[in-house]
Amino acid sequence: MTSDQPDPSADDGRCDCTAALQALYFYLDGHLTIERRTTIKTHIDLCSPCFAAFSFETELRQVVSHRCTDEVPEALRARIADAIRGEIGGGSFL
Amino acid sequence: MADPATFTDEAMPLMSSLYSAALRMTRNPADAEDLVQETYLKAFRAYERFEAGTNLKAWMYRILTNSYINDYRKKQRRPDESDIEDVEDLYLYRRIGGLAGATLGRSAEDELMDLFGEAEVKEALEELAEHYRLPVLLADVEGFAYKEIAEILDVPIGTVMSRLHRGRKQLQKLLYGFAKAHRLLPDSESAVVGADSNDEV
Repeated sequence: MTSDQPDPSADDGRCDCTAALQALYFYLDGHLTIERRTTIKTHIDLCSPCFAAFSFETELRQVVSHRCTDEVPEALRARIADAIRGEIGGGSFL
Repeated sequence: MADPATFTDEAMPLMSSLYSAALRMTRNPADAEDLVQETYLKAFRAYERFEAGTNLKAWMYRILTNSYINDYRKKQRRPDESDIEDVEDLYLYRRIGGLAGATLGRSAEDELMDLFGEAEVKEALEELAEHYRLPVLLADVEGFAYKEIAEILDVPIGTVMSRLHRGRKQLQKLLYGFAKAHRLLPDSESAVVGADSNDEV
């Protein structure tokens, strides 16, 4: 870390890393008020260690989401379509 | 009121996401298939009561979750899923040296992410205790908002938030276990700094 970067453990009001990191998940979840969001955004834009931490968590979340897809078995798809057709009773289907 | 004739067009495209969720819930393809089929039939029968224009995906997930909880969960209850030891925020990131002062190389991060393939992520999610697994699945895989998750699971929003928070940390701990098994990460936890312990909402 270069000396001009804020110390992530420092809580001097100028760069409140602790508050930013505590709000991290709420920020990523989109559950902050606009003011709070702006404050955090301003902070992470200027603070490299926090920016890196936020980026890491963002990427990890994308990885988790993208790795969790499963192909629906064709037989299941057909079975469900048949069952619904059966429920409709052949009359007004589509 | 939703028109039954629109059900197929509206609900069928949701099947792969519902099936994936069913697999993570039941951890068993045969049960997941039955659960999804049951969900579609229940949804079709109740479709007239679905308010057109509201969130169909959330509505289908509520049916899926309720069916799972009522009909499937008992079959495969684990010994006792009591609360496990809590871990600190940014668990994984701290373990690869993040926040420690050194600039973390992009390549270290990429290497780590590459380790987490489909099998690892699915296994980690399925390892989570159920009261953590469902909120994490709904938020981080399906992208539901806290309020929607609260409605789907029928628990207060504060409960969603605290379970989600702890569940995500547990997930990171499990993923860290995989990474360590691949010897990519050091065994020692000496790189960890500034662990804080704010947990519950």
